[in-house]
Amino acid sequence: MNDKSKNKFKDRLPALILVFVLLAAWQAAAELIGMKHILPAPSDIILKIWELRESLFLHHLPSTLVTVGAGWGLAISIGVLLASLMHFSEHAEAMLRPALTITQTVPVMCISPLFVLWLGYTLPARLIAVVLSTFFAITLNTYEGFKAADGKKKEWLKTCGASGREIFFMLEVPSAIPKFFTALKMTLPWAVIDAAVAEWLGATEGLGYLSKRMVSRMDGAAVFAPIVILCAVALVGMAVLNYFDKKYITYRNEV
Amino acid sequence: MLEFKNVSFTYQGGDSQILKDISFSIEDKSFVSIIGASGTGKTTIFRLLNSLERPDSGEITADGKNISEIKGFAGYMPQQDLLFPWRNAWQNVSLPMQVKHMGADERKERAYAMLDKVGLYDCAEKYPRELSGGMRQRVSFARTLCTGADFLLLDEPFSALDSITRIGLQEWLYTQWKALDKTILFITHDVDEAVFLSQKILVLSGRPVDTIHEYKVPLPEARDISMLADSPVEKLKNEIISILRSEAEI
Repeated sequence: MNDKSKNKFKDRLPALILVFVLLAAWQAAAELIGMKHILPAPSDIILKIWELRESLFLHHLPSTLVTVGAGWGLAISIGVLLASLMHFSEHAEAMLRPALTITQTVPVMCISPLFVLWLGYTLPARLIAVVLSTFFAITLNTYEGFKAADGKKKEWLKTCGASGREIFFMLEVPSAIPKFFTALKMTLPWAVIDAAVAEWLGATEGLGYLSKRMVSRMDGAAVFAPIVILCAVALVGMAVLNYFDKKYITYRNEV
Repeated sequence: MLEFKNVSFTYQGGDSQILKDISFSIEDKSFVSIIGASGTGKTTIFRLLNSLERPDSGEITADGKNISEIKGFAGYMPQQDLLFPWRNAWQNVSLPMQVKHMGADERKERAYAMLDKVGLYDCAEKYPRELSGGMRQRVSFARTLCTGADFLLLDEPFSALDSITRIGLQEWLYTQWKALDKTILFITHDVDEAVFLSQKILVLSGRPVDTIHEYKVPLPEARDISMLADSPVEKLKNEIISILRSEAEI
């Protein structure tokens, strides 16, 4: 193990210890209570994941990933589009900002059954829930990022004869990327959570759906199994985003 | 020749006039410094020359033509280097060429050549944060040269640097100017810097600026920093300093 890896391990040691202590306490409490259908031990959940591996990883996980990927992708596209629109037009900004804020006051969990009523147990119904919960943060952060572009650099580009479009792509877009990335890191866990919630409320497949089905069977470990996978999906996604952030957004503090 | 003819200017929404009926001229291929107390309007003159502002009255011409009609009339080097942190040195230098839609290969080749000219060929792939303050200013100068303009506006480019780096860059800039065949208009607060670099010094006076004192620098073309202690130069410096002092008291 080289020095860098050693330091990384040292940095993460307190968090690992905490997780280990919590899991041990959970395991002990579950053993003590002895009611696995209500409080399964971590070891039971791991066993259940192994038992349900085919259904979890080959059927429900891909379905959830489609919901997360498509919903989050759609939210990113809508967010960037709206942020650009607000950036280029004061009228659009004045018109959209209140509407966007209102969308954030709507509790997605409460309104999602309505999407199921409109669209049935379909992917679009679940996508709306994911988009609604994530696009606002992406829009606002990207818009703020465009606005954060250095006015002096903008003037300098103007002295070179740059057009508004050139200033946008040469200065404002790169200036917005750090905040855009922050929005991605904020919204990825939300996308995973809301995809699962949408599956809970109206789906015939997906990790959220599986978890709900297992509740009716009073199988505590099977309720937790999909949740553990969901957490893992969010963590892996965050790790990937953090990797790209560290590697490519090296100018975060210099914009 | 660049000419300011009876130019007056007030910022939009501002209540105090900045320039009042000022006139001066700058010969082609010369090095001229503008010096004045803080807030007098030195940068405003640059903004007018960059067509970022328009005069309320009067005219600014280059060889008889209004500068607002000349595309890319001046290359501007701002006080802070304003390098783009997501671009490495050669990519920063190539920005003005990118604005002119030059092909990517040609841009890269020219940017490298320009960096070679300012002694930073080996730093072409480095990002601004990896360069020292002096190196960043040289990259910024190379970028200004890449605008292709014959007229360069340098706005206190060395003000943020330590004195040793600053003296080194002054000598370096003077050598560059002699080799480049360009007209340079240079803003500074530093009288020594103005005297060392320039053939002519314009001292702004009044609030709003209504008088420009012009001084010819009594130094030969081949000069070095030690000549600043010569007696005619000392006399000129004292004269400029006394104007600046009286301006600061206004």
